[in-house]
Amino acid sequence: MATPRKIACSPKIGDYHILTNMLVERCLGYETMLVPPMTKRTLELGARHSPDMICTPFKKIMGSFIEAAEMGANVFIMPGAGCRLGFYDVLQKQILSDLGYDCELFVLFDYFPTATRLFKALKEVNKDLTQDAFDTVFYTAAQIAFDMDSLSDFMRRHMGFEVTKGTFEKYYDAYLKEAPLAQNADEAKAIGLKHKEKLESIPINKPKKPVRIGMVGEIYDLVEPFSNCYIEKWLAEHAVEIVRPFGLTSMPDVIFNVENAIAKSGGYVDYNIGSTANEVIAQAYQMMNDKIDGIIHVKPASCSPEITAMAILQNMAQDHETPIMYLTFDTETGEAGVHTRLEAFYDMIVMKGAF
Amino acid sequence: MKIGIPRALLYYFYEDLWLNFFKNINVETIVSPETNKEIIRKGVRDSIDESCFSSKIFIGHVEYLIDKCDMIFVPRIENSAIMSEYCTAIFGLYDLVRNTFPNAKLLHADVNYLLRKKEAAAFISIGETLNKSKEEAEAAYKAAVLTANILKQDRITKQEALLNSDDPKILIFAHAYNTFDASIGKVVTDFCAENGIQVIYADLVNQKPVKSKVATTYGAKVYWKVTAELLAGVETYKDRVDGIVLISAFPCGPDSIFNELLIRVIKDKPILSLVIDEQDASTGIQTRLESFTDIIMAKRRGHM
Repeated sequence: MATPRKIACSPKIGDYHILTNMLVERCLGYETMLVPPMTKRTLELGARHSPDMICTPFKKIMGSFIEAAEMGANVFIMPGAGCRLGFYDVLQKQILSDLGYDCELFVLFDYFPTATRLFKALKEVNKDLTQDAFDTVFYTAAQIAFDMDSLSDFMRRHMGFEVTKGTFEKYYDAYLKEAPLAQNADEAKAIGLKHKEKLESIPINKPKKPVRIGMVGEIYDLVEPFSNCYIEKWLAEHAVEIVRPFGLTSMPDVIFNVENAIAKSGGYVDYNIGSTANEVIAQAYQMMNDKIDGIIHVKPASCSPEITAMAILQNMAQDHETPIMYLTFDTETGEAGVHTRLEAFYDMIVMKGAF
Repeated sequence: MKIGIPRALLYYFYEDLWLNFFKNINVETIVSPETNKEIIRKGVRDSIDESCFSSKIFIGHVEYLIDKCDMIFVPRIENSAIMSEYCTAIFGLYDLVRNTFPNAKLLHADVNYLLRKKEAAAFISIGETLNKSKEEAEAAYKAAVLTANILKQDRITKQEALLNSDDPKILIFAHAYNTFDASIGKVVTDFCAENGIQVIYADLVNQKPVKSKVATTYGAKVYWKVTAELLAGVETYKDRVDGIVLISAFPCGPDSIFNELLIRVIKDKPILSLVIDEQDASTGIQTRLESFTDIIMAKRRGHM
C-alpha cells in the first residue's frame, strides 16, 4: 500500500500560518491546507477533548486540528519551544490518536527557536534539503513576517480614521494574498514596499489628538482576532488609535533578550518572569510614560506568566494612574460580553480625557 | 536578625537545605505555620484571582510573616541546569511578592544556571547580606547540602521498605508543595493512614530524571524539573503499587499536560485525579478516595 499523501496544516494564529505553510511546502514538499475557519463547534470540540486546566490556546488549536483531521489533514505543524507550548504537540498527538486519527506532528523548534535548529528539524524529514534552499525560504518568510508586522502596525494606528470603511482591511488582505507568491527575500521586500505605499495612500481623517489605547498581553490572544472577539476591529470602529507593538517578529527578543525588557521596565521587575510577560511589562511601562489613554491586557485563561504580569501591571498602573483593563479569554467567552466591557472602558477614557 | 520562611512552594523542595544553612550560620528563622483558613483567606484576598491555589497560599504565608520577622526569605530559582526549570509561577515569585507587598523586606538571591548563577553563589550572597564571611557561608552551604542529601537518601530507603510490604499502596504524583500542604494533600495522606494504605511518593526516587522512559516515550524532553522527577518516579514505582493518585492545585500548568498524558497512557493501574482549590471540599474528596480504595481492594482480591 502506498503511503498516504501528506497534507499539512498550521494552527491559525493571526495570519502567520502563511509562513509556516510556506516552510513545509517549499522545504518538505508537503501539500498544505488551511484549518477550517473557527466556529462555536471548533471551541466545543476543543474543550471536550482537552484537559480542563490547560491554557485556552491549546483547546482552540485542538478543536481546529480535529476539524482539519476530519477533512483529511494528516500532518500538523506546531512551533514548539518553551512554556507549555513546548508540550502541546505531545498531547495533541496523543489526543488525535485516541480519536483514531493516524497523524504526524511536525515541531519547528525544540526548546531554543533558532534558524539552525529549524533547519535541523526540516532536514531530518527531508534529507535532500540543502542549506541554500532552506536559507532562501527562511529569509523570504522572515521578510514577510517583518512586513506583516510593520504593515499591520500602520493599519492599526490608522484604521479607525479611514474615510471609506473597510479600505485598510481590504488592502491588507490583498497584501496577504500576494506575499506568499514571493520566491525570495527580494521579491518579498518588493511586494511589501508596493503594498506599504498603497496602505499609506488610503485617505484618512485623523484628529490631532485621537483616543489612544495600548494593547499588551499574551501573543496568541493578541494576534488572533477570532480568539480575542475582534477587539481591534471594535476599537477601530470607535475611532481609536491602537498601539500594539507586539507581533511574531518580537519573539526573538522575548526569548533571547529578556535582559533588555527587564532594563526597560522601570524597576518593576528584576528577573525573567516567563514567556512574553517581561516584554508586556516593558511595553506597558513605555506606554504609561507616553501618557497613553488606556491599556488593555489580554490573555488566555490560566496563562501563568501573564497572571504574574497582571500583579505587576496593577502596581504600575496605580503609580502612573493609567486606566487598565484585563480581559481573559476562554472557550466560553462571548463577543457581546467583551464588547460591553470595551464600551464601558472606552466611555470612561473619553469622559476622563474629555475628547 | 530573624528570617521568616514561608511554608509554601519552594520550601517543600528545599526545607532541609534552607533550615540547615541558616542554622549553620547561626541565624534565627521562623517558619510560618501549616496552611490554615486564615492564611488561605489572606492569600486569596491579595492574589490575582486566576493565580494557582499554591501561589495564593504562598502569598498568604508571606502576609503572615510580614510583622513577625526582619526579612522574609523569597529566593528566586529559575532552574537547576539547562532544560531543568521550574514553572513560571515559581520563577516569577520574587517579582510577584515584591509588587504585591512593596514595603516588605525580602531576603533573596537568584539561581539561574543559564546565566551561570549557581546555588552555592546564591547562598554566599545571602550570607553577605547577613554579614557572614564568604568562607563561613560556603562551609554552611556545603554542610547543609550534605545533611539534606543524607535525609533524602534516608527517606528513599524507608520508602523502599514500604514498597516491599504486603499492604495496599498508592503512588502520589504531585508537587511536594501540594502533597504536604495541610489544605491540599493532607486529606489524602490522612485518609490513607486511617485506612492502612501505604503512601509512596513519586518524587522520592534515585533514578536520574533524564533517563525516565515515560518522559522520553513521547519524544519530548521534559524541561520542567519537578515534573521530570515525578515521571521518573512513576516509571520506577508504577508496577509496585495498586493505584496512582494525582493531586493538583487549580490551575497548574505542568500538571494540565502531564496528568492528562498519564491518564491517557497508563491503562493498567487505577488513577484518581484530584484538583484542589480554595473552596474547601475535603468531604467530597474523602468520598472519592473511598470509592477509589474500593476499586483498589477489589482488584487486590482479584475481582476486577
